[in-house]
Amino acid sequence: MKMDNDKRKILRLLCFLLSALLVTTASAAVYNYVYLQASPISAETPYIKFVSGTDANSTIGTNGTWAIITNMTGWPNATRVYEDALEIQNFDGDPHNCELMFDSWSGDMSSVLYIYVKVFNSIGGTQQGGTLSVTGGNSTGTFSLPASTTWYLQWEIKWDGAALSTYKVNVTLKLKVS
Amino acid sequence: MPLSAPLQPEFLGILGIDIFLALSMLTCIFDFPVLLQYVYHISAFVGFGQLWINYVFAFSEETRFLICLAYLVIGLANIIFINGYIGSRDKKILWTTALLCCITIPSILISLSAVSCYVNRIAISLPLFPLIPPEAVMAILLMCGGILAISLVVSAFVPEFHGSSVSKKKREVKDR
Repeated sequence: MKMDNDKRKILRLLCFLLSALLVTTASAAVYNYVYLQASPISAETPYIKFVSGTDANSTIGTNGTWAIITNMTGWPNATRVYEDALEIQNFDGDPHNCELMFDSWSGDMSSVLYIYVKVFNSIGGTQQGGTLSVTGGNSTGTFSLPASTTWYLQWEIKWDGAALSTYKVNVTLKLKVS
Repeated sequence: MPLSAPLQPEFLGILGIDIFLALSMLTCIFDFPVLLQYVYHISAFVGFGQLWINYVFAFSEETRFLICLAYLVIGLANIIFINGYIGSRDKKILWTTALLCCITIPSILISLSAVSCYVNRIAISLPLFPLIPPEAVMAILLMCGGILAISLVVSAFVPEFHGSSVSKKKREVKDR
């Protein structure tokens, strides 16, 4: 009789174990489908936009989500500064964390002594975040862009003494907004 | 590939389900009344149903959190009760301490850290859950029901629904 009870107990335990495995799998799957999958993903108006600066010509993309600065130049052995090359504007009622990051560059890179990009709260004002060095490939670090505020991108360019007027580089940066 | 995402309140519900499943197996191993074993197992199913209810009725996040927290706390309270009951019934320090160290304390600590992570909105890395087609979830649940039914049929032949083999042994010793 005891043997019989033990067998039943083992059988019951096996059933519990199997059922437990299935329940945990099913609940994990439900959690995954119901609560972790993002659906629907809708489109919204971007709240951080690029705006043309006063020191350089730029093409602003649709919705202000991208910008191309078209006419910046640098001098050999001297630093050329564009204090208002481009602007970043927060159209939202809340502040947002931003980070300007180096993405890639190409061209006569070996003749560039440095290209620095800095973010200022006003032209000639206080620098926000760190200095993005294109030659160093780093970022400005995260800075908080207050609500309904425009900040200014300052570019500092210096070619080496042997650079010719035909030399050029293309720089791509990216702005991370959270 | 780890998945880093802020926890949803239902994660606490899943912890509660696991706790009830562990309880049903523990009570089976330690010869608790068969009825109690099934109550715990069915409680795990109730927790699973609660995941669906939370989703279907689209409660506010706060309500979902409170429901899941209550479920988890009930599960933890039962684990503490079972641990204490085994300690007082069997008087085996080794078993009681082992249960305390291997199940009760880790369950409480994991639950507390999960609640803390949720409340503080900390994104933690979770392993990717198995990708099961949604249609299979119903089939899995039906299988669970089938297994539970088989288990009930097996248990139906057990003459006693109350009392443990340990206490039976003690009674046999007294009779002698």
